Amino acid sequence: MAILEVENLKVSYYTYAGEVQSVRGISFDVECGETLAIIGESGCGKSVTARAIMQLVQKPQGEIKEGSRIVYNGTDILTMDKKKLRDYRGGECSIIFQDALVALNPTMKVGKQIEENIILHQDIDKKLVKQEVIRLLELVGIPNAERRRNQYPFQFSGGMRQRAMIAMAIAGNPKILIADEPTTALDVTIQAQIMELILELKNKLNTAVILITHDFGVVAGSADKIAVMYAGTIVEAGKCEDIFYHPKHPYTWALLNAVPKMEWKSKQLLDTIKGNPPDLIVPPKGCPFAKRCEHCMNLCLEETPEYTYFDNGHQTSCHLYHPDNQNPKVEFAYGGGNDGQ
Amino acid sequence: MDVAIGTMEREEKEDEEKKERNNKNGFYSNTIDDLRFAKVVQSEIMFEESARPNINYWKEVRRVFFKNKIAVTALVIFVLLVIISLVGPHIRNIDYVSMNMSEQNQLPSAKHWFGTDNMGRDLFCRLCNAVGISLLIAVICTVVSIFLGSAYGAIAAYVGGFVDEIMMRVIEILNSIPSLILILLILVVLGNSIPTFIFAMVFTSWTGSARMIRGKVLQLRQSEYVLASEVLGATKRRIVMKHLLPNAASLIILDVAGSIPGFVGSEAGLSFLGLGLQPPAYSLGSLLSLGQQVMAFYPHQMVAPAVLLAIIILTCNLIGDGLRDALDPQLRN
Amino acid sequence: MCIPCKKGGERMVKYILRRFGEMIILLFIIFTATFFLLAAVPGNAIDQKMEKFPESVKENIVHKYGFDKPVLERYAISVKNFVIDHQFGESIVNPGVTLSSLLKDKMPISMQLSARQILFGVPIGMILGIIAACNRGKRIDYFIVISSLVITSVPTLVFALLLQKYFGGRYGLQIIGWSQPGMGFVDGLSYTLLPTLSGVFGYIVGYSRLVRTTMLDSINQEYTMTARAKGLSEARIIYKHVIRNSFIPVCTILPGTIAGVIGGSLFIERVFSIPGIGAYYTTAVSQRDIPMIMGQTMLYTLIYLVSILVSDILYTIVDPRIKFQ
Repeated sequence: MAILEVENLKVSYYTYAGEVQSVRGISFDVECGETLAIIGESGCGKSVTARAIMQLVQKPQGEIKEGSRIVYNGTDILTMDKKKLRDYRGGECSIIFQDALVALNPTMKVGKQIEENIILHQDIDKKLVKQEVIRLLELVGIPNAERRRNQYPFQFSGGMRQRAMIAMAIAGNPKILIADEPTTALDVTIQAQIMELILELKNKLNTAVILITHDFGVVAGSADKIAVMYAGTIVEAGKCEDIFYHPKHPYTWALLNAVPKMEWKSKQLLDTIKGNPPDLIVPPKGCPFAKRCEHCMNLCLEETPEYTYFDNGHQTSCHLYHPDNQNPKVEFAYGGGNDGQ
Repeated sequence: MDVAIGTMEREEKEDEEKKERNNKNGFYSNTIDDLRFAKVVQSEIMFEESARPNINYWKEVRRVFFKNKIAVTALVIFVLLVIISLVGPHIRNIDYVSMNMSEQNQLPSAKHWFGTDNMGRDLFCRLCNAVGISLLIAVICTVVSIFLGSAYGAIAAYVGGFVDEIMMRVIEILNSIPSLILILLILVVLGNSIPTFIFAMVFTSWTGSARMIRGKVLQLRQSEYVLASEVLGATKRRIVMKHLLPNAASLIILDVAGSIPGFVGSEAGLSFLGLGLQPPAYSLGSLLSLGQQVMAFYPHQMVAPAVLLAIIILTCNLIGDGLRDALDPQLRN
Repeated sequence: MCIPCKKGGERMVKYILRRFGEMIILLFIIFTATFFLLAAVPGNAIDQKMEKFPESVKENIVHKYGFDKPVLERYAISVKNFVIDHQFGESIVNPGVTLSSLLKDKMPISMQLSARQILFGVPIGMILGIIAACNRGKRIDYFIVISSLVITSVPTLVFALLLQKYFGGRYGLQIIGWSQPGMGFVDGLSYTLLPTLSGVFGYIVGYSRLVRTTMLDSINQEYTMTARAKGLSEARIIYKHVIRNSFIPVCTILPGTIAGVIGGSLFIERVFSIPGIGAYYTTAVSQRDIPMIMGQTMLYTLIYLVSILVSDILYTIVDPRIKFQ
């Protein structure tokens, strides 16, 4: 059963240059205990999506547009009253932010910050709260938990801070854990550890995970489903294997080819995607990727493509699969194959 | 209007471009029945400009400022006040300099709009002059102190090292004496005159601008885009003109806007205490002080300069606030 | 990875001692500078006071105050007096008045005036600032912002004069003067209310603006979003997370305010003829009463420097990230 359904989510931010349509009508759902990876380059709206799911998009800077629905367990969180929303945040669904240094309160002891979650979302005797904090800190692999509890975030190293952030996020036993680029601010060696920790906790606690990242490498071993976002829309979504082995959208192809592979010959060039993503203050008329797409057709510049559906819920929005398209079929080839060699 | 024309032109342009593209891609469209699916040459479209208009910073600043009704109203009032104070004494054609004991302490009338003071001098003309003097002193102080301060700060930041250390220490020492005390001390030492008075006020206020500009220059010098242009071989002159000045300009404008009301206020305060301008020179502060002496019987002599002083400072502050909103993109939401 | 904080106390003592040393050096530099500046002044109170006296009397008095000695010798004597007795000599204009007599007679009055302004002004200002920040963009925020802007534009001096004009002598309020010891509460208030009110608005407005800005800054930080994502109520977010972080700058400014209020009350003391230390300073300055100017300058500077030191120490206490260096 889907625990979270997002329907036609539209989010705008108001900047001094104008209204940025960060997310432009996306839909997806997350089943109990499954991992959904939302992947895309910076500025594509993936973090905004994460914030919207937590109801963290605040007026007047930003706004979730009318017609959007985010349904958790049958109730739309956009119409929840304040009390229920507070229980939902942290208790049902919690979030790990990218940079724990700014996401943790600099002037509050780490233990205290975790305590807040426990007191809010667990029925627990006040005396046992400290024990619970220590248990959580140990669970996320922070040694010397007893001492660490009384330290401030700035006394933690980057990886430890992120672990503390994770401990905080799981303190309320949430059903959904959103990880918003949890490893981006970390060293490569630490990145793997943190990813491992998240997956381990996911299995232990049986939470659903929404993993937000720009790195296909991070997704490979961990996700059940993948949604590829581009310019505020989901251009392709499907099961992990389908996306990796039968990607349909040229943007996904380009992303996959931008990941280095072990088996490549040493002189192989890494593919880059030429051009820049579109300006979301004035979103393009047609397919947002058209201008950077190798397979761009006249129609792509005129009309936004509808979704085309394949097996296993695999879907993509691309005019290549337009029923009237009589161009020769284009298939994905690893390693670029077009240029790059 | 502009916007409508802009879109129309753009649409026309787009249509033409589309035609052109189709011609160029004739090779493809020949083989495919449906023109919709004709392939587009990627290189042709990739760097096409987006429809979003470019924003010129200063143009935008002007637009935002003039959209701010409060700030514009304040500006209009302020300008009117300045004009009246400049023109007022000349059109009234009244002798407001020499004493006229037959017209002492009159109430406002057709001849004397704001009445007369205890020497029988027309208060309206005196107020006009006082506003002029107060503003003149404030402007001179502002210009001198910000110019000196900015130069000092920029030099400290640019030279750096030991020199910077010493220059900052000097500021620290100056800042550890309360400014009012320092002004009074200087006035004691140098005596009361308009130049020494200006000197005293400048002497205690330039340190703020110096610190600010030093901070900004240091920050800019370390910023990556300045480093990038240095790497690209830009000359010092170009870096100063293209990067440092425009970035510091908004700060300096704000500093000016904030300093003028500050100086008007402190000048009035000091003159009120009898430590600023000495008779026969007078400013709003001296008039306030004179007004206070006869306050019990002729309140208008005190209230008029008090209200004027408040209006001048208020309008300056409102203009300054409008400027801050317009100049600082971070504050604009 | 983590900084051991065992020796925090010891380091703090060291830090304070070092800052204290620096302060004394600074005080000495300012003392010297002030002394030589004043020594260079052409005319002092003696000339003004003795104009009509015969030369012999003049010489006698000049001798009494030691103004006939060479500058360097006078400097040495002043340093000795300053360091050993903390004295700056008797007033020339009002014989018998010294800095310590000022501290005893006039300082308490100035302190009372300042304390009243701060005790009412700062908390009210902070509360208004918090209200404005919590309701940012709403009507009440707009109201507080605009009214503070209008009120800041009215100099304390003008406030004092207007209050004195329109309320002094009416409603049982006094026009001038200050409460005497032994006066009843109501009688005392009849003297103190107007002077306090004249100054208090400045503090209310200043602190409401400051608190609003720092709170908004803190509200826009990511940790506030984290707190919201935890499911904390808005009130708890403000109380637990925003206020502490946004009060760090406030704490550091508070001691300066306390020091600065003495200077700011100068106008109020003058308008309401309150026999405080600020009013005396202006008199001393206009009469060129050098020992008094010297003494009071050093007094003000000392208060100011101590307040800076206190605010720096406070800073390290409120913000755990700052360590003593």
